[in-house]
Amino acid sequence: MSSMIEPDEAAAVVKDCCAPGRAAFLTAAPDRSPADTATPATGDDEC
Amino acid sequence: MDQAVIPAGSFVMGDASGDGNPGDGETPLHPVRVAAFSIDAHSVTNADFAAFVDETGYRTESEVFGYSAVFHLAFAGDDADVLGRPPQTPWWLGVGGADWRHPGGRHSSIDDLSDHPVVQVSWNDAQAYCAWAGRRLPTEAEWEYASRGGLDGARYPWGDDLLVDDAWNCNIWQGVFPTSNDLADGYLTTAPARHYAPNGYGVFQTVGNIWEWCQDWYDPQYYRHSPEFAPAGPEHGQQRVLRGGSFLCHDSYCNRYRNSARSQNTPDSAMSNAGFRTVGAP
Repeated sequence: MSSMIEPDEAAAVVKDCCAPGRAAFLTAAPDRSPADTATPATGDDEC
Repeated sequence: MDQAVIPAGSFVMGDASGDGNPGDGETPLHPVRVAAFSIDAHSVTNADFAAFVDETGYRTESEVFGYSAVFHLAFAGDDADVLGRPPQTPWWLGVGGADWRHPGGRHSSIDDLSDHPVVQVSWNDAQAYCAWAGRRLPTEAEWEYASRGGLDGARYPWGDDLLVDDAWNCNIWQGVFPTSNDLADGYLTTAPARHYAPNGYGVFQTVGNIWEWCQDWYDPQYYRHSPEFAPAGPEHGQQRVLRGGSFLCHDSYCNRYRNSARSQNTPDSAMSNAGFRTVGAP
């Protein structure tokens, strides 16, 4: 779960860099260290 | 706070360049007329917001909730502070102890950032500041009219070209988002609120640096039926409008560092790249 973000791959599936709403952070598990970054698990082309 | 007086007038609101994300509702282009108003020449700074808090004892929503959203490269907390990392945007962390005084987490501070925009403030927090200051948030139309600085139809507040004499005129992301910022514009996170040149109305940094809350509810269909004079947004909604883009904007993602770009979030949300400015009588 500690794989690095691959920017090109991330850009291909997520087109929105903006933060989600406050509630989203309470339903997303902190599955890795903040020092790590990860490829989004799923996504779409909507911003 | 210095104010810029924006004259009454009309403009064409929306994306004239074809750069917008279709789902954001930057089109159709439509004529808008606005009354004269004054707008903060720059985003509300940490020093401005501190004056409000010192006088009122106000506690922001991030302080009440106990956490806020922090960009991963700005994180300055303990690993145990990370509450969540949404899978669609893993560069955003929910961080316990992050608030306007600690925008990156409990180990960050604003000690050297008094002239930077306040961040980690929600729309509701901005409303509280406005009530104290005798001001209000700009409507989305007022914000865009002020941002255009008299250059109707231009992509940016200074024209259509991103660079001015090969120099950056705003604080966005250069490099490979979200992992590597080469700092060509000088900043990873916020820049001082008056760092780059102002637009034709004397307004600083509407584009880039931080997103700015507007008064309106957000509806991507709103431009299809909004009134021509003084549009004030839908009567109801779930999210409030944000304008201007931030230090995180990059072409490879949402390209929202433009006059017409729109974003949104819930009124209780706060982020390390969003703040506000106020408007009032001219």
